[in-house]
Amino acid sequence: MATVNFELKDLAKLGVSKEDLLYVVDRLGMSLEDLNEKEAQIDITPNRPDMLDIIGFARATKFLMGKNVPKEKYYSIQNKPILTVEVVGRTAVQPYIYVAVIKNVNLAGNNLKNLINFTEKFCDTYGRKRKKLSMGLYNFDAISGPLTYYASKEGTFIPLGSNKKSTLDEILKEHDKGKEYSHILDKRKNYPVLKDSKGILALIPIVNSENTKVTASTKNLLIDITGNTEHITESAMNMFACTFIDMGAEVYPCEVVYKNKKVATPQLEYRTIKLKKSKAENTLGFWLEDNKVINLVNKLGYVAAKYGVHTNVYIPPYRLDVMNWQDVIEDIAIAYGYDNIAPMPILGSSIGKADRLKEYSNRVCALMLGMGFNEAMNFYLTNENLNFNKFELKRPDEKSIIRVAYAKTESITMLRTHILPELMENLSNSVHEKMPQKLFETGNIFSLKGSQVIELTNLAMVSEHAKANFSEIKSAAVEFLKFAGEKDYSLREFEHPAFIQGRAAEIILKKEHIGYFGEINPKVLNNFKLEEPVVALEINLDKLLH
Amino acid sequence: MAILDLLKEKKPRRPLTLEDLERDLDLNKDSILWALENLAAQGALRIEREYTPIARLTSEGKEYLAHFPEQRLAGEINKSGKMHISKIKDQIALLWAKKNNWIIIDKGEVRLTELGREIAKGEKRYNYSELLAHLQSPDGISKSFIEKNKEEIANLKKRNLVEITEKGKIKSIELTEQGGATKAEAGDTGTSQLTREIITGNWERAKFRKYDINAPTEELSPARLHPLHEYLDVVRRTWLNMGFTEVSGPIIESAFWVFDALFSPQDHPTREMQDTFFLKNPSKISIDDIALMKRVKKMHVTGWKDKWREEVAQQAVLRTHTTSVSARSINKFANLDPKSYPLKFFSVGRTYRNESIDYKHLAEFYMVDGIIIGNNLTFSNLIYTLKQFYSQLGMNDLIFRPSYFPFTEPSLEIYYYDEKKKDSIELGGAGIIRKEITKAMGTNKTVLAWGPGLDRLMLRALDIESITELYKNDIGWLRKRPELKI
Repeated sequence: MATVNFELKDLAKLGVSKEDLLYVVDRLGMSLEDLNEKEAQIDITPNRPDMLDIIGFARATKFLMGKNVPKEKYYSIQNKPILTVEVVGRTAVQPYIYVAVIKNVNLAGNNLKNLINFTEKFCDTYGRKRKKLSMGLYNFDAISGPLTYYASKEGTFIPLGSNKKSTLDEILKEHDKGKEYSHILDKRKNYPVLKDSKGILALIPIVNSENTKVTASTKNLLIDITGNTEHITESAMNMFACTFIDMGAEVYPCEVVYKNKKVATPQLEYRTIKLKKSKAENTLGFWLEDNKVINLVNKLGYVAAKYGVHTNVYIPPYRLDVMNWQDVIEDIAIAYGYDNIAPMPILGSSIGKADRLKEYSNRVCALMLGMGFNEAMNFYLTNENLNFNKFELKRPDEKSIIRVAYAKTESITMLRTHILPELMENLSNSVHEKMPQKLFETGNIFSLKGSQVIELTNLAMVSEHAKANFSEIKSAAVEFLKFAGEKDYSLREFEHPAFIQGRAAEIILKKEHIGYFGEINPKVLNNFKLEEPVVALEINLDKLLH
Repeated sequence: MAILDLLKEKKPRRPLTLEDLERDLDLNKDSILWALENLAAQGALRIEREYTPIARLTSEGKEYLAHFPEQRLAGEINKSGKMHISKIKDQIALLWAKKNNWIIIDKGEVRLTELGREIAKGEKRYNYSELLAHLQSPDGISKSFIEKNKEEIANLKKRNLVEITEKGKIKSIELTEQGGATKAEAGDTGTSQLTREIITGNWERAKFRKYDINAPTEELSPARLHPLHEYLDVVRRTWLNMGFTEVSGPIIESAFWVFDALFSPQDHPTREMQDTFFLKNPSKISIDDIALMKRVKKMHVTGWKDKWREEVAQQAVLRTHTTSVSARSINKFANLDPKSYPLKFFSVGRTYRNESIDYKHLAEFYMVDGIIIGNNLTFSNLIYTLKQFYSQLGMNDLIFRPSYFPFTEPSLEIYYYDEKKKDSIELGGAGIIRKEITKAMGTNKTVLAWGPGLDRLMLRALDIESITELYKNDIGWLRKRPELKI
């Protein structure tokens, strides 16, 4: 999601009022974050990069309001190519280049600022912070063709905002944009460079030359777009060409000469999608009158014509998101208005069914409440200090722990392997509360066995008060096993560093260890700053659910 | 036995002490003290305390136990007979030595007096040193001792060597009239506690004393479910009531099920470390269904016109949404006997985002996801289903707006207009699963899907401001937790 700021006076010039904004923004699926006397702040969803542009935004707004809806294909290029770009070799990143010349453009007032904002937001989002796609604007009058796009480490030029010539490596190290984007380039390989017959125009995707800087008084522009795939490079160029056409400028294509092909860019073709009215009706769930489809798609900027049962929908070249009929149908729904769609029940009955383990764990919870234990719910994300160290456990084999690669929050390093340490931490945070304190939790624990991830559901309980002892927790354990319907279990003396030696037991069911309980060791109590005895139990539930 | 009952029953002639209660009640001292404070605050009990002064030496005070600085100074002067005033760095020692008449200063030379020499040689004890030693006694000190040495103790306090506090010890506990509750009205000598003897005996003749029903009683701490659990069950029951089957899936997933199967492009910003928890261990989870993987690959290459790499899909992550469970269900249940449709599934579970945790953001939270798989399902069916669900949670004023998700088309965002806050609240997204996805999953069925978060609903249901409160599990909060409002 990208946020744009448009000045209301600029929008007004483009025929969009404050009232239009209030009506349209939500209905187009964007959100109006702020609206004051001077400007509007709007969140644009990533499928509509054309609306990051104030001109594209105004275009979409007016169409939905029913103003100047397109009746025929509007965007086209009549001019012949006026410049050649030779592509020499293949650059390591962004090997595709599209170039166009824009004549008689008006960049006065806020026009230049708005255009630059658009290119920056677009390269940030759709261009993935210039990793996938980048672009540059140049003063065409300062350029002498032909252009060459090639890979090199050599050469010097004056980067934007500087007054001295620098080598490419100096720019990467010293220039602000160099520092910000140099990670995109592989330092061991040659860099993508664009030059004209006089010298270097740009180190791509980093910075342009100061000599071709664009100002508000620039009349003629050169625009280059470089990308990792031909498809996105072409689509982006089409979108920008539409913006310049809407600004009243003339767009001249350029011929890009690759080793084995020539491409004239841009081409501004409308793609065609054939749509049956019934397909839209069956997807959306409401009937459309005969000419309604054309009517509705017009409001989203499409041109359409009817051919028998089909409607041919022509996609304007600035739309980058329309893949096929589904996207057109969504736009039909948007034009129809989500508010106007009548909800329809689904025919056919069905019977609900709960998850067995969840239901079982709910019955366990009821039992725990009956024993006077309050329910706690802790995070599954934890760290070694709590999960192992404070519980006096030696860290197991690293390969058995589920560990996160990177966390913004320092205290997060792994997923818990048992619940008890977190319950102990809860007691530790509750020392000023009335005794006795009894807590339980049912939840997941995680481990890794070879390459097999194991997610289990455990029950854990703790009881803290002056007279807490082994018998109390044993009674609870026995009561729980009775509830679970297990008679064939046995108890075995258990050695665990968190428990007092000789006062801990493990529960064995069918020769398998399924849980343990006992009196917590004073050392552990001190680790958690607890001053009263604590007894604890942890047991796996998966194995009890037959 | 509860404290009030004990006091009522014993009708003690003398006020009880804390020790009496400890002996007669099956409670530890902390719990008794808690209950007493509580009852006293309600006016049921009168507690008298005895205050004993307690002196505590500061860390400086403890150092001074061996030597006061003025004693050390006297010792130094004694060694050399005299000392020039400019060589004395410790001004406080000088001040006190002078005040105690241990030294005389003559033309800048400092010499000991007779008293000073006796002190220096240890022939005479320093009164402050003795006082400090006495105050150190752990048993406390008497009030009269403090009164007697008032001035000197004040000086020690001024020098920050000692702190005097008072410790209140419970001396006696008595029922107030209010706490009595069973206080007999004039001339009334009826029965108080109903007993087995009375019930099985001559109960018709028994006279029951009248109780003051407004008399305070003790506060209980009943064991409760966690409010989050209660709320999740409300949500689960609502879907169950609507005929949905509950499903679950793994928290630790391959990026394949979380992103790729849902048509999220491999270079999508949410697939970066800044947003998603990637795992170091295991770092990858292999995709078993090779045919499925190939279809998903084709979907990406055709749709996004970009390359698609298996290694990226194999990355192990903590699921960022429960939609991964829905994706698995589509794959698993999309090709059953035609008569079994429509099929309805939901899942509630934990999901993860790599966030810096604060009062508004958690790295771990709950989401609910649902799908309906069938023939002839429409966008208006989806809107109907969502309306029905939220109306059962008491939310009737829903607003549906267009939105964008890579895996649904058309998509919508659900908002609720909150009358109280005069604001629309975003509840979550929904849509029809793209045909590219259902096709890759090997079905021609239509799938309606939604995956709203539960945080906003929780905050509303519990009327709390911060979501982090929910996971603190402070037992005090759990005992006094807010109740659900649905």
